Amino acid sequence: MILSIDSLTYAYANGTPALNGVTFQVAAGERVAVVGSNGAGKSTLARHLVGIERPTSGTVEVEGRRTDELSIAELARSVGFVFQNPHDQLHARTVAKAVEFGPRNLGFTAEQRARACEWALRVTGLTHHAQDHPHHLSFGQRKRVALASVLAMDTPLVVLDEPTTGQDHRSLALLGSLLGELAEEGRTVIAVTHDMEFCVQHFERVIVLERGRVRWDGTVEQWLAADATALPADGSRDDAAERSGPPTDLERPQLTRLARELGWSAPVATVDAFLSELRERTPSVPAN
Amino acid sequence: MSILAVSDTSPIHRLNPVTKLVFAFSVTVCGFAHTSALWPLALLLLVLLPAIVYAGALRRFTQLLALFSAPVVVALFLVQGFFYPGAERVIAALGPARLSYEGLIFAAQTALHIMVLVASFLFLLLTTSPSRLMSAMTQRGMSPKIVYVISAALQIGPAFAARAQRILQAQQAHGLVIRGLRGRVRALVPLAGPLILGAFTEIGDRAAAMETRAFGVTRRPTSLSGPLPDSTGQRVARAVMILCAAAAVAVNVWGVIR
Ligand SMILES: Nc1ncnc2c1ncn2[C@@H]1O[C@H](COP(=O)(O)OP(=O)(O)O)[C@@H](O)[C@H]1O
Ligand SMILES: [Mg+2]
Repeated sequence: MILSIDSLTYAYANGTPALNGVTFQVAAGERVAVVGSNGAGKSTLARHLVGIERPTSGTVEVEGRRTDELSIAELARSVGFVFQNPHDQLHARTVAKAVEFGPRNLGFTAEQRARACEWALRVTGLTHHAQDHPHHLSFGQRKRVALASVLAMDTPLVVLDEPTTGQDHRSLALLGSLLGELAEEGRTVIAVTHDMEFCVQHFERVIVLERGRVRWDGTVEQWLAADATALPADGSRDDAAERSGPPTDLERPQLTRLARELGWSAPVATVDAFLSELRERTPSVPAN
Repeated sequence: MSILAVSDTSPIHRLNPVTKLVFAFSVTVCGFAHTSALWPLALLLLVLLPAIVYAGALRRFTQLLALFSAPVVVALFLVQGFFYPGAERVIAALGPARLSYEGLIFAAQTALHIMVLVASFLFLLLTTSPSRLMSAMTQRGMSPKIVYVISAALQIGPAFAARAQRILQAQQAHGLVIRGLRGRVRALVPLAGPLILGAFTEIGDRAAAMETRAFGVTRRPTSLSGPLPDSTGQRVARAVMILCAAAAVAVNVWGVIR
């Protein structure tokens, strides 16, 4: 297991409880989407993976090492973390320098650095912006600079906090193919997102957080098929959550909802899947 | 982890925010009531310090007070100590600069007055959540513009600190080893410009967001937070403090016209 979280509970200094007994494991090479509504604790959880936040109780282990025994800088060799807000991590005069910052700190040789940065800029579509000042870029581009600066560190685990914010269609496609490429290399990707389309298209496993608890954990297919009032991970009713309000009905992708409205039993999430299901049911729909 | 985390950790924290605002304001006004150095010194040691200690914020308070007043105090002592016009009792001469007794006294007086101002502000900052102060003030029908100015002033420090912290974390997450205060300072100094700018932008963004929600219209906005704690004792205390401030102003004016 590259990541192992056990009974992680966390409250902020001002007393706000953010995580409550979160437990799950991630195997190397998995692509996991952590979803949930605003304030569910997704970012707090993500920050625990790089040691920026330390558990109030419970443990987080990355590559078998407890995060509370390591510094953030030490963990940075295992975990690349892309912050939700790119403003907080761009502080170089050029995009190229920002991307080089991590590899330099990690002691890459000049040659390794050049190769890592060239690749990171290419896969994020920023090669032509290498000499631009990060502050002259759009928000979406800056988010990709932040992503590139993390990819260049070549970590086995990559954690992304809301990667789709501010990305146009083309950048989203780029991000999708990038995730595929990372998977082929055997890297593990954990993304925090509330973009369900993105989640079902590019991830194989979904973890639903709700008020600091794991509400659901399974494959994307299972999640699409599951009832909106899905049971929590261990299959038991979570009484505390039950009493404090109705479970989150996270919006399924529109096609999934449409298919469900039509009474189809198979879970459908993409245009291709929808069309093939439609052709099967209605032979008059022409194949293109 | 926040540098200025405000939590309900003491009875002072739980006071009505307006009481603390009136306290900070009155102490400042009283501090300036008399030119003598003893008066602000007494306020600092006998009023502000006990309040801070009771609130359990002494450490932060001392650090921040030193941080904010040290540059002013040093400048005052250098400028007034050496170049006080019409100085008679010269203690030492360094070329054209003459360290004078009158200059030092004047510097000490001014420094103490400024420290009372800074300390009162820090007291408010360390014991009061800006959002609660804002709703308390709006509930009492104060002008939204004044409410906003006060709350922005209280938020600039925390916004700055939070941002500095996030940048340091991001640098470490990119493998930078930062050790101790020296390491933090070294990591942050080159970023001072963007940092300060960013803190202001953040507050500006918030102001813009508030304007789009019709903040500043004359109708009293409905508060979401419900009534804040208040008591007869606090109401009386506020009246007394305002009277003290008024008396201080009167004493001051009397001193001038006499
Ligand atoms: N620095 C902080 N101090 C206090 N409370 C916080 C802080 N950051 C987040 N929270 C609170 O913790 C909870 C979880 O927040 P977060 O992890 O940011 O949620 P998400 O990323 O799922 O939107 C929320 O209730 C939020 O208000
Ligand atoms: Mg978040």
